[in-house]
Amino acid sequence: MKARGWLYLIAATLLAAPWVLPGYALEVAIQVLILALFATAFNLVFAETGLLSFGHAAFFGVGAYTSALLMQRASWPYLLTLPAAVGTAAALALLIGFFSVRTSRIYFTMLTLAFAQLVWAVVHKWYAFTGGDNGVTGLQPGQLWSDPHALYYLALLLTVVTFLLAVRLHLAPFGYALRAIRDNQARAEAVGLSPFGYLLAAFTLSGALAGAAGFLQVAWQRSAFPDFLYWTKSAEVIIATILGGAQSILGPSLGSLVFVELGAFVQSHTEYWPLVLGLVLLGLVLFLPRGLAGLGGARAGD
Amino acid sequence: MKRWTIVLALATLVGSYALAAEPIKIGALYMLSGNFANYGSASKEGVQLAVEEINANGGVLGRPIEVTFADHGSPDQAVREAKRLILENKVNFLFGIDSSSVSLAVAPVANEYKVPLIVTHAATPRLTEMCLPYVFRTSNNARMDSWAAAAFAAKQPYKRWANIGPDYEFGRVSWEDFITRLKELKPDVEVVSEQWPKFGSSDYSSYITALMRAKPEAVFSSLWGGDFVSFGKQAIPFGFFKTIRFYVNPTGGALQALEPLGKNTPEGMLVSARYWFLYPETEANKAFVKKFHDKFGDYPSYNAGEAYEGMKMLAAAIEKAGSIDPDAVKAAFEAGGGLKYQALEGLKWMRPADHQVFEDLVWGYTKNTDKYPFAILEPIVVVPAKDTIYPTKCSK
Repeated sequence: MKARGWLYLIAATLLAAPWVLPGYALEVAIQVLILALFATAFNLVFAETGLLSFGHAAFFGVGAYTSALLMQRASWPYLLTLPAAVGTAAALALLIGFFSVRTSRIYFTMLTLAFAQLVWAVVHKWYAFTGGDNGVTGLQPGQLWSDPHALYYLALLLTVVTFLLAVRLHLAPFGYALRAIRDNQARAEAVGLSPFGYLLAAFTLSGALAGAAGFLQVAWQRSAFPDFLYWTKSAEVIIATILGGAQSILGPSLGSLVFVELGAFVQSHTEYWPLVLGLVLLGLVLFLPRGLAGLGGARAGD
Repeated sequence: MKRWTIVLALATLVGSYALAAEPIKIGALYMLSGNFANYGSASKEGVQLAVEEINANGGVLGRPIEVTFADHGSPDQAVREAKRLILENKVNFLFGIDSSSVSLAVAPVANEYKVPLIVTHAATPRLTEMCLPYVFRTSNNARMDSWAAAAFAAKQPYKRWANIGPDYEFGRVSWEDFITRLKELKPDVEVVSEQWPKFGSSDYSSYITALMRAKPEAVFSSLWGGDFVSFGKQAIPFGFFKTIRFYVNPTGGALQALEPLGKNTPEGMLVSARYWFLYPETEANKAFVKKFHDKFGDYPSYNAGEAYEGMKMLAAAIEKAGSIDPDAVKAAFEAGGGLKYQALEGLKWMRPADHQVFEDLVWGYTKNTDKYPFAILEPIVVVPAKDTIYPTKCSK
């Protein structure tokens, strides 16, 4: 009953936010939702399978570029580019995953990083198609989606869907299988689970959802840049997830909230923001090893 | 009844005075952190000095200027900061921008909110070729630098040309514009080598030897900032500058590049500075340099000069418009064949179609002297604005 009360409160806050928040705060709130979606997607692989992907920026970026290029070159309406963005991100994740999920731990991390940097280099250099380092600029996602209110609700919808999907997956046999593989691959295989198939499926789903986050970023920013695919973007989502607590289902969202708000606040006050941000994050990681979610003692599956 | 009228009149007067004294808000985005923070902080100093002078003289339209500085970071951070300045600080104008990709990201956003953006450093020709109604650039762009370099190159007897530039848009476009223009002016030139080190490279030895193997007579280079410094330091021991006859670099006249090279700077390189603190030798320019040096302890680099002049030119446009309404300011920039503003370095003319400023470009040959701890430009050569006026696809 108590949990349900909290749930209603959070839902009401999220729904009412655009009517309460002043202009800029709403813009930042959309950024929080986008990162929350991205981080929750990333954590599908990280928490459930224990594999740390350092290449999720590739899926985020490819989703963004798919949406941006379809709008710019083929004049597709913004919303229609969503399935395309998710689809291309999924296809890329399937490809990268096919080669990566067989490897374990550090090799997986390095391989995903290498693949993502490869995709970044292609986007960065292919002037004729992606615009190279000029990016894709001057996009107008239509009258409706240029309005921050509409974009906020779209971002909220996609984030909530992803969140519910993550919860559902966690509780489903699929989630149990992933955790079994994570905890002891040899035993999981002994009981008849095929790790490759499960891991690839989780990785592809996670990549596809990251593509949806990229799709939202394009509407918010009105442009797409190679920075979206750079390793620093992958680092961002890792930091947000760890900050919030990877072991909690709410952790990545909580981490995103703090990461984005903190970044926006500190950058507007000092040019030494990378230093301040670094120190704050260092402190949080040192003193809250289970992330912010660890404060409440909430654990996944509780 | 009569008393009320007086009170009302007084209230209106006070009211209008308060309104008139309300500051004009400008949000300035510069690269204030990271590897190129020395460019951003120089620009910031230029803006600070300009605003101080404007406000000391009673402001613009009787209103003081109030500048909020922000660090632009990467394109997505810059868009967020621009939105903050527009939505939270309620700025009337956006100003500045060092990085080309950031300028391309911020321009459409500023345009959408109808907050005029005045760019003082980012040099990609693409920015003004977007033809956005509320975007202006008060400094010259990379294409004009390349055309100016080509104008010099065409007068030289050298036919064997080579390039070394950073491997991204700026380097590629600079070379393409340069060589296309040079071939128009002097059809018998040939390209013997093109070297594309990664932007931000630290090791240039393989590129230097490759260049020297091709035996060019003349080299065009768009390496800038730290790249220019590293390349220069490494090329000297190879004897690079002794084997080639002519070296031209459209960004080499930056103090951020010449100061770190110090007395080791190879002499006789033809470099551009956009603004060079020793030119022209007018009282006004000398006074500006002195004031800048007294205040910040350094000479104004080209982008400090351009930021200073950009702010003054914006103030002139607002004054001419008689209001800060975006459409009025736009009209002031465009009216009468484009705003002409007398800057320290010469006349700046705003082309109405694409909102790009054209001006005489200051170039010079590097020379070490006893007076300064870094190389200066001597002799100075000036490319007249008319040699850099390229066609635009924008129409008014």
